[in-house]
Amino acid sequence: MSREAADFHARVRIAVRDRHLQAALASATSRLADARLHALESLPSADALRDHARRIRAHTIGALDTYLEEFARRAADHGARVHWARTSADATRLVVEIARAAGARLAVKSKSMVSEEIALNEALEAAGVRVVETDLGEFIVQLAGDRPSHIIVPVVHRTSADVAALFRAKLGARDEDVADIPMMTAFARRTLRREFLRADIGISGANFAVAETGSVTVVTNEGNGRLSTTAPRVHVALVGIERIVPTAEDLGVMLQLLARSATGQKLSVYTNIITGPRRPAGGAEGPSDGGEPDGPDELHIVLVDNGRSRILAGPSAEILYCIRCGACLNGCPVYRTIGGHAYGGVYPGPIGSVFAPARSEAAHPSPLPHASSLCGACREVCPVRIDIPSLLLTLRAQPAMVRSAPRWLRVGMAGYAFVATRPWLYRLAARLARAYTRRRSKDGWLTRLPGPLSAWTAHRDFPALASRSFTEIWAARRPR
Amino acid sequence: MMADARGHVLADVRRALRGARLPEAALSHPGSFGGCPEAPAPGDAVLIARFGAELEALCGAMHLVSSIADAARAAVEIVERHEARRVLAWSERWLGCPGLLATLEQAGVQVTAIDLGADAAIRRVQLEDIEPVVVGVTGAEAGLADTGSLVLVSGPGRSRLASLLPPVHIAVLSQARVFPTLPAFLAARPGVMAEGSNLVLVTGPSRTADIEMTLTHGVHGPREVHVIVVP
Amino acid sequence: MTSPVTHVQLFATCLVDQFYPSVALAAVRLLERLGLAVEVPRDLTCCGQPAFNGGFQAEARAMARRTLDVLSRSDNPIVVPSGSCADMVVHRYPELMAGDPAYADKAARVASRTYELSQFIVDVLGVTAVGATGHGKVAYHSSCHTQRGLGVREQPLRLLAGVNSVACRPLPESEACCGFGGLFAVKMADISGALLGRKLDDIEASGAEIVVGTDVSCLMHIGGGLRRRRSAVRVSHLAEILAPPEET
Repeated sequence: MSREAADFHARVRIAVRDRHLQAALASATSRLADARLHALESLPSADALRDHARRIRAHTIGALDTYLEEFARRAADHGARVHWARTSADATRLVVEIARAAGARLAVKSKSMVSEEIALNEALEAAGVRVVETDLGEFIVQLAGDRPSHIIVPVVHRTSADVAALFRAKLGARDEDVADIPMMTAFARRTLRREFLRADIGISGANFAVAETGSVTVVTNEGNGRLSTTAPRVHVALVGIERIVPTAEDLGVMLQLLARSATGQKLSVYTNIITGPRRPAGGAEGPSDGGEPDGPDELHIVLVDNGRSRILAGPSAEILYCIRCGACLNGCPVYRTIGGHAYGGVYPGPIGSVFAPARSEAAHPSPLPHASSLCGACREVCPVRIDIPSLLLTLRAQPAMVRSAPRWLRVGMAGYAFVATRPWLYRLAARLARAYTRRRSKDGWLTRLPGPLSAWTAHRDFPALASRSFTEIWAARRPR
Repeated sequence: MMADARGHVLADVRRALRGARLPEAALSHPGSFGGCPEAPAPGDAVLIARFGAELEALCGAMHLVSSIADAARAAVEIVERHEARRVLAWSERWLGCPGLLATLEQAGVQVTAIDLGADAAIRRVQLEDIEPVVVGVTGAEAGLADTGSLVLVSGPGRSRLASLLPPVHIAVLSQARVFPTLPAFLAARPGVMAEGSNLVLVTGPSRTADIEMTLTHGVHGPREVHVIVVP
Repeated sequence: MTSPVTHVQLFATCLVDQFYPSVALAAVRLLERLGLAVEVPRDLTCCGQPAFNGGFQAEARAMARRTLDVLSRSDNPIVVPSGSCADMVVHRYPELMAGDPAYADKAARVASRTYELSQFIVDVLGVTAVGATGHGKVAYHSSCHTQRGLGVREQPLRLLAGVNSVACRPLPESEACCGFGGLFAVKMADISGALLGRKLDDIEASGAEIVVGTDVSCLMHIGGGLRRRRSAVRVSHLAEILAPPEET
């Protein structure tokens, strides 16, 4: 077993035994899943809208180069500086350079999955820029030196008592500041306000980037996505290249599905659409136009590839349709059991089980594609109907993945296929298996299977084979 | 250097697309979504009622008034309830409520407009100055009935921070600008997204459920949203 | 429908054949009771799903070709007392054979006439009351491939509702995965075991005496768990509930 697989299994074992985590996951995922159903019911023609959204994504990804070029042109037309980053290192280097050029010492960040992919915070800190996460969940994660465990609710794994202790220890909060959840939230608000208003640079991700207008969309419930992209003088938006949508109208379609699928809200509280830095004086309004009163003076958009073109070239390309709503996490029985940390990467759940391995050039194939019972719940809830089970099967079938399967399995499977395509041999093998199980069984059940198969009997009994197979019974009753 | 990176990324994407195994081959753009039922025209009473219901469900408040004078009075009432002596406001031209600012000033409330400087140090000082202001007053580009959302577009005289920094946000919205849905609004106002550097859909007060999935309002944005709907 | 169906082929599936032959026998009695003549093609073994799910495409194709050859000897509809195996034939065989000119057409034709048992009875025969009588409180576990792969959700429930003297108890989260997942049960045993535990808790909460399903794969796993817990609850395949009793 590879190191990665061994680590994964170790994390799984920890997660499965963590009672608090199990309760938190069960509660959070079922609430979000129910809320999603309710919200889609209130949307006329939800199914047709999802089909339409899928077609938009399919078309866009199929013409990605054209739309990227259009986006970059339009964004530049509105005064944004557009940068292109092929790799993780390119992206961090670009952002660090922008920060240096701006003389930045403090950055406020609203959530960006791409920034996690490229480990941006560490790179900025190394360059002398203090980075403050402003999404409350991410702020808590940062204080704890932890990692987020769900892409929508990052600290689903922590209790309010944990948070209170953290605020006391790291921020000097007094008892009255953390007396209850509203007090803790107010305390966080006050603390983060100071950072927002003193920050030199605001860093965000982008839920969508609209090619027609060169706009980036930042969606939040808290308002940190607005404040971090308004108060500081410089705004840097990290955009995964697959986030493009062709038109404003298409954005409207996506927005109708995003929040409903993620949290069951009809829309998130703040859908922030940014088209260039603040407009200077002498704009369209004429000579009396004094320019916009606030907003950043510099907008940098960093288009990040970081393995996405590699995914596009491969059999998992459909995963690029993903709009990062998190619905697949909430529907997944595996995610619900092991939580986000067990996946070991930036993206947990079904999306992560495809995205990470598909992008990776790691020597050892990831165990994640096999960490699924292929139940199909993810496909059922995906707003753009990504067929994740099929993508997992494709990943499982890749030569490197098959080669990394344990020897007993590879040999066993070849043997099984050999036998199953030769009925006389199949009947013989079945008789041997029957004799084995019947000898070791009690009342028709075995409590221990040998070798690797003992993993079955670790959790349940195994039935002995029947004394006669159906084929044998049938042949005896209906002689030909 | 930058041109190289752009060229490389685009080349990588093109190369990938040449051999791509996407489930739908060479799909053309699907056009507009035609699946929506007939909706009432903007400004219809049904829409106003729906807007109010959605906003209230989010813990926002709609105040439906029959005159501009009533709107001004409603605004002053909210300001006074919060004992605010100062408000951050859009310029009068964009509020959609002539005389509102004058009414506030008559009530002894100082009206502040934002005008952030280009210099970082000046900016910081200005932000610290306006941070304690309790109430922000803005107009609205539109309202969206099916979600109870406000559409705010930035521009001269229309700051972003007025609807963001203070804990109480008062927005004046004209009835005629209440649309049934976001797609309906975008269809009626092509190009609106790029009119200013910022278009924001505000759907109720700021909220989070990050800690133990418990809902709290007023995290980074306002905890109270009042929409005064004028004829 | 054109002419009414008179003959069907039964694809017992490997697990039923070797572990639960009574399920196939019950399926035969049931189909005969509904007026059909049942053929059991010789030399059927495994549909190849375990190999396919494990990523072993070559092995899966070999088994698929063999199965297609056997099932093509007759043009009659194919009835499968297993949703996951039916799903394999209906949806995955055409995919697996897409690049094989000799088998692509065969796969499409076989797929078009393959049905899970309850799907066949309700959707093709148009029958929901099969005249069965049982007793006890049953709860229905909905297998993942059956419900999400084939889209078969209502049919088993309607058939159960038509059984006299059987009380159908709602199973909490009946659509949640039981954790079997094929080799997943062994490779990811900790997760499989946790999902099984949750399913067993739901079964206990339902007050059911019998857990009914369309797939013996799930039932083997759930049954093994119930046995380990020393539970009095037993598992039964839908065919066994619906079939007339064996003639002695």
